[in-house]
Amino acid sequence: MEENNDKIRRLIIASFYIVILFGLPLWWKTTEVYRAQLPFAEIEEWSNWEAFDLEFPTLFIIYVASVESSTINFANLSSNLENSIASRYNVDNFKASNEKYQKSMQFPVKVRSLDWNNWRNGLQYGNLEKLNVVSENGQYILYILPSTNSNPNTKVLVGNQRQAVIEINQWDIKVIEKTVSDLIVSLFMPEQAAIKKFIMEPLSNSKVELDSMRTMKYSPQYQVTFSLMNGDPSDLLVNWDIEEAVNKYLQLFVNKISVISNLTVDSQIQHYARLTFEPFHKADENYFYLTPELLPHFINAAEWNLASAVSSYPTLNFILYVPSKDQSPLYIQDSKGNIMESNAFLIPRWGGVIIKNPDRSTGAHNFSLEELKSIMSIFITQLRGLLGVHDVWTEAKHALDVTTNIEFVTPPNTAVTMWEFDSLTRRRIAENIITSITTLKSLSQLVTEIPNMVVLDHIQTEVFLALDNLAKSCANLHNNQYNLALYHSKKAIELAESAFFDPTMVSMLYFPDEHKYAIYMPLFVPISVPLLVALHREIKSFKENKKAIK
Amino acid sequence: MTFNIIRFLTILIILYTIISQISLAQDTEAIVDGFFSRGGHTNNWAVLVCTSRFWFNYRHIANTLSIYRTVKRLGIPDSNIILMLADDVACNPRNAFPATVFNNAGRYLDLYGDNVEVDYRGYEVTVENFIRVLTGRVAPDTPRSKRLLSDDRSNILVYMTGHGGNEFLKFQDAEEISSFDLADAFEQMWEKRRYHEVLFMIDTCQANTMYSQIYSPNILATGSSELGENSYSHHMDTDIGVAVIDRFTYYNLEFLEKVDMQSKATLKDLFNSYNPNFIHSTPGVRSDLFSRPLDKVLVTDFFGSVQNIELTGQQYNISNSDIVNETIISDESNFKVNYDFAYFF
Repeated sequence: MEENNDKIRRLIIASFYIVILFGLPLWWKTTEVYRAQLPFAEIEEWSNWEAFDLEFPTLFIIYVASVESSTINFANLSSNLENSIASRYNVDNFKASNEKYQKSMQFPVKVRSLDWNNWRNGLQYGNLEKLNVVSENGQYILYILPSTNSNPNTKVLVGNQRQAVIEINQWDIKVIEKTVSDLIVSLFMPEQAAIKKFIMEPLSNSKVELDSMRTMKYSPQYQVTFSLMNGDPSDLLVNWDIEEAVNKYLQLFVNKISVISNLTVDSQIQHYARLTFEPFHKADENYFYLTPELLPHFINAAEWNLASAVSSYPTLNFILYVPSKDQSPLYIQDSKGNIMESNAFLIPRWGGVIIKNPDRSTGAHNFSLEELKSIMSIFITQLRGLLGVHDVWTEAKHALDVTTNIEFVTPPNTAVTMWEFDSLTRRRIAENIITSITTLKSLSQLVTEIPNMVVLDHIQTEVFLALDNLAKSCANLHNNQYNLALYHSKKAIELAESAFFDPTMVSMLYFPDEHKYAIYMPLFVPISVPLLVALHREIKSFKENKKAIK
Repeated sequence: MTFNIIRFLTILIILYTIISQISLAQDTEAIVDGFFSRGGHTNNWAVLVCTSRFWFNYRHIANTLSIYRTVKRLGIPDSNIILMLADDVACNPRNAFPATVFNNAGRYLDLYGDNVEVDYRGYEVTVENFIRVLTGRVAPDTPRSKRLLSDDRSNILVYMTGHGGNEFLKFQDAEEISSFDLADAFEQMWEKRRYHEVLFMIDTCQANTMYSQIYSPNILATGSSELGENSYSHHMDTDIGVAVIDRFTYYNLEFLEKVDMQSKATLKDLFNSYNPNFIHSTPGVRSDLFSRPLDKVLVTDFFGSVQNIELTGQQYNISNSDIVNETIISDESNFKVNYDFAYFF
């Protein structure tokens, strides 16, 4: 009987321990934080610039007019140009510590020179239409002609498509080489500097830099809102033909730029839009004016309803402001006290403002299509700045030396030339690639740092797809396929951001080990005391039994 | 001898004035026609959180609404303010003045007014939602007004008030956020460059412990009281029956009310205005993560929205062509050479 009792007791105690033994792994498994494996090593390689080379190749096709009287040999022109441009590209402010970037970031140049026999017929007065047009980003055609007049300066005409005509005054191989390499370097150097800067200091946001402050961050879509703000409708009613104006002046630009970012356009009219302050009054000439110091307060954020809830994409606001009667006419002065002809200013990463003082005699004013043309052209200037389109001419003019006259064909009605568009494409590709890499890097860092964060399978998928698109984008760049590179870089940034901002990626609340002990102790200590005591007793009696048997 | 010294000093003074004049001139020159911000931000955001609910916490809602009113007055639009509020006092049955919230026994100013946009109301004020707002990890169907759409050029004011303790802050008596959660949330924002600079301001008991764990750069923090100290209310309104504002917020407002959009007051001035004798606790400032000297940081860099501007001089000439359909030809139709240069063709 005694024996039996002992056996049953031991079985009971053992069963408790068996339950605990099986329960432990179950508990471990069920309280585990689910984490899909992320490719940390691969992300690390990308962020260390080991996984890829960033190349922005350009090809120049040079048509050299065959001049009968000349005996110049153009056989070495291509290779000479390639060498001189390459050497000038590489002389820059790279520091030794940035070698790894220099190795992985290249701007290779290829030059092909061709004889141009029918050059006298090729160009007709005022028309470049007969010239070959290259339709690929990264390929440009230069036409080189001897000068026909006595003007001592070399002349350059840059077209809207990817071509330029160079009129050389001295038909000499040295001069030709120098002019061509000068032109190429001046057209491409600013863009390269910007790309390099962006790559080396992608997140330098402490510095006050005009460009980086003005240009919007990349977004697949922007919302463009045109607002007509009327100071006081009691004595002047305003209206505008904005829809026609947008269709006529802006639509082509919107279409063109949609390869990079979509723009949705809307408009509104608001009345009783008062300023928060009184403008200065010039009594003797009876006008009102705003100084640059006052302009930062121009937008009456509390009362003007400019916030849009249509989408979560960034908004660009363009305001046409009509002041009230007691503040008219209203002008903007620059810092030197001169009245600005455009009467307009830009607010970085926000939008633009134009002030107009229409005729008040009839009590109503409609901004016609014709009137809106000058207004829209200012808005387009501002929009270009906000979207990061850089004027090729202002940049190139600074870089060329004074003896060269550089001229540009009047801009197209798309409001962006192919040179500018290509440049923007390349900048955005670089920006997207770098931003995707830093986003993935941040993601991997966060996941490593915060062990309580759940990582679900779809995050893993998105990260893999993002890396895949990055690789494709770089490969396409290498092969001179900029459009595909842009497409994949857009995909990559989209996927990386969606992985980073996934709603499931909010880490559980801070839950340190002490808290775990505090939670489990009240449960496990009372349970474990009888178990341990029973075990202790059993061992003790087992030992005593052993002794007794001996 | 003395004459010599005097002459020397005079020359020195004259030189000094000239030099300072020149540098002043250069300063204004740099400002001319371009950007005005010394800080390098282009937009301002405010996240204002009241973590208490119930009638007897009237003062916390008044605190938050007071700051809300201030930032709106100084130019931050409602679209850039995330206001998290239990919002249960204005229409509380115990409120003797329905649909109002006052922050002073004098009842000069109705904070509730007619233009208050509460983004997260009542039970939506949770730790999870707060962290989601900061880190941007919101559900895809979240409306724009509930999102913090800041970027690398955003200055963000984060103001919190409620009941707290050593390194935690209670959310509506239901849960709490710890200083570690907060620090991690800021770090996640920094990783994705969701801010340029942050001013973190907190008015609770033992408030200074809340910012002790923050480790991300460009964050400036200030709190109402040290570890072991309580934060006290300023005064009560006998008609309303409860305290209407906390001391720390009260003295902040006293300073901020004198600030307008054009003001040149700096955060150093604000912090120097704190007097522990009045506040009845020791306010703290943590600036080791912050890169700019405080006497260069304008109050309006965080509490207001002073936009940079750039005058638009030249304009882009849109061409006269009436062709609207987009083809390559439409580009070329404008290949009209309009310079004297054309004659050589």
